[in-house]
Amino acid sequence: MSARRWRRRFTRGTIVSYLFLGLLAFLVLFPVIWIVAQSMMTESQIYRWPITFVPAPLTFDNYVDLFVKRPSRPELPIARWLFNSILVATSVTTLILTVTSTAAYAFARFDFPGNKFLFYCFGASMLIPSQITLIPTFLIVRAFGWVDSYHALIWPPLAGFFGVFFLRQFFSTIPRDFEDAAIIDGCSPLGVFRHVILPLSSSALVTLGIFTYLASWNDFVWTLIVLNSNEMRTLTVGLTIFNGEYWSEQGIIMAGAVFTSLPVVIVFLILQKRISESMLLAGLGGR
Amino acid sequence: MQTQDHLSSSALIRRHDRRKIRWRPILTAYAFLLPYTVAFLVFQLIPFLTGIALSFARWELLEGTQDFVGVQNFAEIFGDSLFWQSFAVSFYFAVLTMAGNAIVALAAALALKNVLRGQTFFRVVLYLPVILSISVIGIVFGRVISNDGLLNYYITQLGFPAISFLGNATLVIPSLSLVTVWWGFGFPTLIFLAALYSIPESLYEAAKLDGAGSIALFRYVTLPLLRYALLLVLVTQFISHMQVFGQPYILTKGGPGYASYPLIMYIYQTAWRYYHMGYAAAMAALMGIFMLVVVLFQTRILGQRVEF
Repeated sequence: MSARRWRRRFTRGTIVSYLFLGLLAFLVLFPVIWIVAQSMMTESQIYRWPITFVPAPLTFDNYVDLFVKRPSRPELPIARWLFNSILVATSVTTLILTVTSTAAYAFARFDFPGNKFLFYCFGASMLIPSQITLIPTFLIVRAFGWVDSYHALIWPPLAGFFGVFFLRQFFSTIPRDFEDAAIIDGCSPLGVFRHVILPLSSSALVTLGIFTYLASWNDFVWTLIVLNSNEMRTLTVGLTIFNGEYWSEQGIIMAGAVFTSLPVVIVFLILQKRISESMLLAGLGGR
Repeated sequence: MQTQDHLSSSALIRRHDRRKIRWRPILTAYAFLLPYTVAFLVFQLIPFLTGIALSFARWELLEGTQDFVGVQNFAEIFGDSLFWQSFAVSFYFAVLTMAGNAIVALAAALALKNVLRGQTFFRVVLYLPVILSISVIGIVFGRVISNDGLLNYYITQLGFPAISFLGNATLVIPSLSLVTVWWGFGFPTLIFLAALYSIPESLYEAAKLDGAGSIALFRYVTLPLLRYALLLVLVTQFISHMQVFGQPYILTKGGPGYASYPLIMYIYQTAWRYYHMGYAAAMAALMGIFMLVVVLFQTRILGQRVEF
């Protein structure tokens, strides 16, 4: 094959790739843009047929309405829901990172009796579908008196093994020389962990943190089960129930969807480079 | 050579340490393990054992009765047509969505690898839906695929009759599946992309020298080396979509009739609307065993592929 022919084929492949990616990006962005536009329309424009895309007149009333109480509709404590979501997701992420990283460090670096055995025992739990534990976990949470409280959302996710597994893989790739140097300098095991292992694993920790945060933020079934009162709900569940009970004003619901997605989208845009980086590092794809 | 020396000297130091204080590192390790172990016992092991026990019991939360009934729950389930209906819904949805996500994600990853300029932009855009919550997906697609929604607007513009995506018993599952692919394909795309970058360029060079065309390159180099990524994607996709709940809960309430009534919704309603905890636990156990069997089957099929 001549170099010229190869180059021609290469460009053709690239063009097809761009076209395909452009189509996918269009399909992803089109509904999103439409919803954002609708959230800035008056109620009568939202229902206008044929469908319009440019808000005229442009209004932010729907966003203001999110925070104003109206006797004509069920209560929408969106600021409280936002607070609940942030509090729960932040607590879960902090606790999971702490608990899984310490356990992963023990598994990766210490030669204690039962290391292998415990690792496989814990690991086998990843094969147990969450349905089997769903009802008993609810009964335990109920016995603790945690129904309709933050505790019910914060503590049970800590039992997940994925974080330990993921971080142990990552810790094993760190050369031991760093730790040995720190030990010779008189560092305690906790010191080694805090000052050597954790800083060297920041990208893995960030990745696990993002996935944990998103999973907690978006959790639906469990949150629906353990929460009863309106003001304890997270954004995900609160908005869904509000949407189901209250159809007559679409604008405010779409404003709610945009408003609640914004923080997550911004955090994602800031951290997106870290995600793909550490997926490569952790060998999630290869091996 | 030098790294060899390093390794042996650090091993020496460790061995020396261990001889001096043998029990210290062991206690330290257990201390590091303790918090996770407590969480594991309380929220994984005990619930697991309780769940198994519960599935052999008649436990009515409201009446407070707890009786051991042997395999009676399971016997009832086998005659329960709604169980099989909802099981079929979940399985059909899981297979469609798993296949759709894997195909779109693989194509997207191959295209992304071909593209240098703008790769970050596309990667970010394609991943964007993944971070949206189920409530937002429900709101967006409630507007997009409803009878007077965005999609039907264009269908009628083109002169076709409007399609009732969610009101038609044969269309409702494929429609929900399509929504879910839109929502989720970005994640497997990243997994495939990471796997593609881990394939050494030299393999492609060698195959090209042997005269392989682009189809042959894909078939004999890329695909075999993507096997583990493919396995990972298929297993995780199947597990997560077999457990579908939010999309039908928000968009269809399981309807029309029971056409989109998934197993988790049945379990959820049995346990938390009618408080038949034992019966729900037995259904959950059966579902869990079924998923385990499918995953082992997937692992076997993809794991035993002949080495190249």
